[in-house]
Amino acid sequence: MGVYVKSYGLTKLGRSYFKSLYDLVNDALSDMDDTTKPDLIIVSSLFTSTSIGQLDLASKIAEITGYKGVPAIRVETGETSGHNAVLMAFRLLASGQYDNILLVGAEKTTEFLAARMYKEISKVFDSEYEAYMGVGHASLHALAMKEYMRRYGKTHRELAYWPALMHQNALNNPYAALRFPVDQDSVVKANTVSDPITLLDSYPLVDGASTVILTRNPNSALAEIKYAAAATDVMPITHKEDILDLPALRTVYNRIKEESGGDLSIDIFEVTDQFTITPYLIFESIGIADKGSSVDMVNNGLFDRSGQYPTNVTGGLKARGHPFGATGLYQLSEIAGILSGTFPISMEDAKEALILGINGLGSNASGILVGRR
Amino acid sequence: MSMEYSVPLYWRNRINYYRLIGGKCKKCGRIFFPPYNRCPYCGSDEIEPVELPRTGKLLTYTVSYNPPEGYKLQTPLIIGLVDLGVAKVVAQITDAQPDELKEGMDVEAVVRRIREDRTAGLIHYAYKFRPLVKQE
Repeated sequence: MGVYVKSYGLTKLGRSYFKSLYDLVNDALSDMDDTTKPDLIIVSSLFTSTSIGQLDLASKIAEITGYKGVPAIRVETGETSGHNAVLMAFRLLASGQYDNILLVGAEKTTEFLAARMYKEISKVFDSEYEAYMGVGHASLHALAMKEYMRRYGKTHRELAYWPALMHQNALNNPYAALRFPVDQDSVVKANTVSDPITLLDSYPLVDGASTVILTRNPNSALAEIKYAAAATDVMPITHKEDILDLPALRTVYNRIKEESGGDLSIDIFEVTDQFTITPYLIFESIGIADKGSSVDMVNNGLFDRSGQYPTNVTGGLKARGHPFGATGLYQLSEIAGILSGTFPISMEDAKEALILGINGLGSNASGILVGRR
Repeated sequence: MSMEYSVPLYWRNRINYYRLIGGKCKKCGRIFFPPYNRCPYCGSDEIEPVELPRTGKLLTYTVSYNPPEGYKLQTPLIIGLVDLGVAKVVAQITDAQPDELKEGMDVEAVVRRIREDRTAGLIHYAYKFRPLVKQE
């Protein structure tokens, strides 16, 4: 029994000081323009108990979307919340328990000054032994980036091909937060956040909402969810065998590969590139690049839109933006849009796409295989 | 007076924070920090507390100019990954300017102020690492 993307809605990512989280959800719902009544609502959001002070957000979302009475729950697994909301919906639909599930991903990260949000975001890592010490999101990725550059003898400028590529890709995405080109030198020379990570190595703090309807009804669907998988790994990075390895994500990738009969033919990859270093760790952990070789592959254009592994063709977390709880649903919406030809960015020959997400440095990992209808 | 951080949480962890207590799995022998009630490697619940060595090597470090709220007076914050041989620890590096640090250098644990809880005034202490002071 198949599971399909029926419709999706997005808001332009950015600093929406004059709009509430509920305004953004409403805008996404209007953009989706689909009145199919869901029999379950799954909400994905990380920071709402702090950012807007609301618990039982799912019930409030049910009410403000006009679906009072429909059961509603919230999924939170850090930066993979959106991905795991899709995984839950996929399994519930595939098991025949529900017919139509409304997914709502929404985040407000600009309600407070950035330092306050950085404190909230640092909790995606171990709260008592990492965040407690003042270790921020960027700092743990900076440790990984520095170790990567040391171990494999790569320069910051070489790694910076990635953010430059993401800014290039975002130019054609009307929903992206950062629609301006940057070059590798300007990435390296930008203000340091946590060395070697600069401001242009980092995702922007943004507000946004995305809605998706997943259904068992194949009629007029935009795309098919072929499979979804998730896995966990240790939370403190000091428990990891190797700071540069993401074993949970490898498990997810291999599981999806097995489910597809041992062979994957991916036309578009969509990965969570929180910082410049993250996509390199992802490519090397799932095995499409050997350890230490992904930087050369990226610099040779293999991950460009016209390359062998087109990745983050809508700008990635780096340039599209990273609305945390909504990120997985932005990825799914854009991929479903590209595969169905309903998104402003088109890739006519693309038939299959793989969305991969990690929390932190891989404590939670999730993957969604999406196919053209 | 407002108190932002939990006192019981800090109190429960204080010995680990002051004396670097990790966990040792009696079954697979692995030592890990922070300590858990079950082994992150083999799942065994036979864990004993073990005091970690107080000196180790600075594997890598980063200088943070935009740390999370609450650490402004200590900015720039130096965050290091320290290898104690039996286990690794992520900690602030103190008593040194960034240009005095080198990957692979010897460092030692000290107990230092981590943060102050706003108007409540409660001061939280825990381990930090500094370049090893050579004893003559």
